[in-house]
Amino acid sequence: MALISQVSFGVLNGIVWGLVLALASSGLNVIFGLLGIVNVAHGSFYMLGAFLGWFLANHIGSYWLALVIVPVLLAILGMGIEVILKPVENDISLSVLSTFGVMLALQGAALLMWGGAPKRLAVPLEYGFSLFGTGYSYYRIIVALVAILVLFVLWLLLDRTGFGLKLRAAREDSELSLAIGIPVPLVYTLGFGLGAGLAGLSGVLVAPMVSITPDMGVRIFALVFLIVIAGGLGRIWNSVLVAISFSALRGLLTVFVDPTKGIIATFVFVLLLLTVKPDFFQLGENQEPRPNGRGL
Amino acid sequence: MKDYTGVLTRRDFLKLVGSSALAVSVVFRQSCQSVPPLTVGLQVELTGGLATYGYWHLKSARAAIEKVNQEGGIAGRPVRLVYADTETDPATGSRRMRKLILKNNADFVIGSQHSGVCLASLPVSKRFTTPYFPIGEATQITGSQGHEFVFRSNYSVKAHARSGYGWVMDNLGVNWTIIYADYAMGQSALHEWSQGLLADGGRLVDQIPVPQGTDDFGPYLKKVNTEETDVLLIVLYGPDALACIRRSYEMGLDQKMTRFGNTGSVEALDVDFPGAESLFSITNYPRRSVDVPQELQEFDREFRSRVGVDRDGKGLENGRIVDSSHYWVPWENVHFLRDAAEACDWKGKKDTTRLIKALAGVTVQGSDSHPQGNKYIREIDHQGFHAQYIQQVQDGELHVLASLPPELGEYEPTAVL
Repeated sequence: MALISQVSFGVLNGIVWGLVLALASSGLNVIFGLLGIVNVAHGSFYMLGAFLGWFLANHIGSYWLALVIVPVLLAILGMGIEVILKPVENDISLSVLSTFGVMLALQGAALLMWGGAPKRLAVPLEYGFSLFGTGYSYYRIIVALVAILVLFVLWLLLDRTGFGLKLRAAREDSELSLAIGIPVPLVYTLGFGLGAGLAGLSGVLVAPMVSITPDMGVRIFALVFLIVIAGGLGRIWNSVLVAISFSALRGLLTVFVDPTKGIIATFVFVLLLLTVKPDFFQLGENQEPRPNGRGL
Repeated sequence: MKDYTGVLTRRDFLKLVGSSALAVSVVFRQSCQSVPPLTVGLQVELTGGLATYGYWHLKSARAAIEKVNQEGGIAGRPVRLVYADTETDPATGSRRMRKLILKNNADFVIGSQHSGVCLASLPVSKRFTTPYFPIGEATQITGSQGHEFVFRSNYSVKAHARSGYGWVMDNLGVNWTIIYADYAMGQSALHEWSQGLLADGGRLVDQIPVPQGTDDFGPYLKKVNTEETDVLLIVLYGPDALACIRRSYEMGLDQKMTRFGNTGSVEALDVDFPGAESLFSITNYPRRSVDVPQELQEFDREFRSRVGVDRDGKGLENGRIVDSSHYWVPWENVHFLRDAAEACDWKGKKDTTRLIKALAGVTVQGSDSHPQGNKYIREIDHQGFHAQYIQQVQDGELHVLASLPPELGEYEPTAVL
């Protein structure tokens, strides 16, 4: 019974966190993988999502409304930042430097506005259930369901609409895209906004589950970056698979070893796996994104 | 020809003005040199993980220096404050300590809340023979790594544990699981609390290290043996403490055991949420005025008013929760300095040995200079001892349940200076 309780908790908890990571890493994969912009400030959009979620939920009195508004606000902020960064976004070194500056600025702004004390957002759904004797919040299940729904919508958007096609075409050959009438600068701006909005959404979703601090974005960025690299640039569904399997594996391992050692073991396992079989997470497809718009 | 006798010529006028200006500047310079300001440095966390503490430490130090200046300064000399942000980072902190001493000419430095910063700054203080008053609680600051220029007026981790473990065993249970921050302070606390527990016949069911900056406490708290644990001792601070308290409630651990937090667990934290209810903790000073001992009430009122804190422990300007366990330390350290400097007729660096003698072994009573209450700085290792309080969250507020006297925290010194 104790083992069942430990395993079920570890795996379920791992999947929930994995889906949150999948959302955030999908956002980075749109910006970095599809558009080729190395966005070091991606974690800051996640952090701002959590802060704005906390702020709006407390001021308008509805967390669920904040959940809808905040990603839109962050998408708009992301688009604004992309417009400013346009002159440097094709240069890797300059885009790293400038987005690093954006990260510091956003982090500093959060510290200035809301202070360094950790913020707490009440769980919008206090109820929970017993998972073999351990309490588990229904809210976490809702987080997982929302993440699945949004990832499905993202798939529709990128794989079944003209926008998704234009996004990849703009990156593949921007001059040819311009020649055939694709508004490349606008597509880049919208793509960046989409990625920022996804990071913001994952931030609002986790806000009731974590302590909200200005440096929370820095912590998640390293993990999300690793997931995107392991899954393959531009291959969004691979990074979703990596995020969920990485997190679930970590949850499972923590049943048998100390949780910190479990995290290290998971990293080592993923590294070894990618060394031995680099295309393990490639869903049986080619490494390069297909230019016809399929196979993301 | 016109007679200019008795009339000031242009040449005379210029000479007069020039010599007057010279005389005034010499006199002014001499008068300034006769009472040069005494400089107190503050090494403070204004950004990073402990920014919540730093905000209050700066206010407290400023208020103390303003009061001291209103009362005539230190031995007739005005006092000025210079401060530097450590960014809650040991390397940056020790670099800024050097800047405070060498560039800002700090005569003394009141130190950081972060133990890592304090430990990294100890060699700087020794090298430049500058008296240093760290606030960080790692035992080794006044233990294995302490030196003659270091004075800590607030408790060490070891003193906290010595002071509190008996109360927890007597009132909450003898089978403990300790979940702790996996760095110097947490490891030190694990060692000290468990040592007391085991020496008195208690049982350490498990010890769970947690890396700093952990968002998901689920896997760590799932390790707690709910069948055998009476007390879950939480040795965490800031965002980690908050995350742990919330998740332990969500997982129903508050129904299966008693949760007890160390001093950092509820520092500067709004405890008005369901997960915090019934949580016990140990603190250096009550958050609410009503819990301050009667004989200290008058001093507490004056202290809060000058720093800008209301009776419930919230900032008058912005409602921020005060770090009640520590914000009195910069205030008291400024007063310790004033009294010692005046007692030994301190004039400059050359008198540092006399200042050290004046500070070592000093005993103070509760007063407007020492609102936290009676305390003494042990001569042998320069470690301070003072009262502690056990508190519990009831109806969204911290209530003091018991007071622990200063001598309860006494331990064998690990350094002899």
